[in-house]
Amino acid sequence: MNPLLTYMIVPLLIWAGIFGYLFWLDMRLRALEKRLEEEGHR
Amino acid sequence: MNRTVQILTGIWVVGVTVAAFLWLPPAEGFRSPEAARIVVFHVPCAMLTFVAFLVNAVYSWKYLRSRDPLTDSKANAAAELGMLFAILATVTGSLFAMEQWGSAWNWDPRETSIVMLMLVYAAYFVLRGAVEEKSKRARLSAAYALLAFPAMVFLIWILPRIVESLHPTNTLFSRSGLDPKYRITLWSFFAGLLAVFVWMFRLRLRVEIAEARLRRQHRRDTMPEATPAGETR
Repeated sequence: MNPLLTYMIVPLLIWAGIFGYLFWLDMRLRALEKRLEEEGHR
Repeated sequence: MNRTVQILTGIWVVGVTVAAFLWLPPAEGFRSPEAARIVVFHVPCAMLTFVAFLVNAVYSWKYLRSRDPLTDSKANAAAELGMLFAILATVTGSLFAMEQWGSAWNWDPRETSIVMLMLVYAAYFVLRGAVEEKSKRARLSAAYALLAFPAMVFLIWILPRIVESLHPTNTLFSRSGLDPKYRITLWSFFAGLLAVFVWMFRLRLRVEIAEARLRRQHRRDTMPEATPAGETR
């Protein structure tokens, strides 16, 4: 592989991993808060 | 973490990432000078792995002293983040190894030790998943985390130094170890990642707290209501 391309992939991988995890946490939190709200109304 | 700090963190890490491309020169003396710059991203991930598992050990110890469920949640959140950074360090390290050493995996002591480390902490999650009762799970996993911590110190700090390795040692803290531009970029990226770590840690904790609230609510809803005479309706 082109060394410059490999170098460019590295930060992309890191940010994909971090933002993927943040996104997953955010989705989970929203779903939980929605459920809490729904069950609070019931 | 408030919005301003989040925005500043974002600007900081984007700035450091851009600087790593535009300001950092290729490292002469390497088989692939362009790709040698991967170290400024790879090493901070490995450092954050250590920080996260250290935080896990601290909160586990605190849990055993206080039996506060929140400290158990904090220990779990830190271990999860440690695993994430260990995976990122392994993947980025493999790309570096592919360019510099000709193969993505060489069974170098540091490569082997990070795999062992991930297995040690994978067992922590298996343990947590295997015990249903909350306080027992917290107690057992805290004790396990305190046993895993010395193993982690040995695998990260001692083992790679006592056997021959492709990885250099003592480059981060000695003045002659790294070119100043590399040192500045590497530590700046570490600072940015540390802020992101705090952000993720707090978000993970909010998820744990919301889950606990939901569990409590379910328990309340499913418990039969008691009458003044102590009979259930």
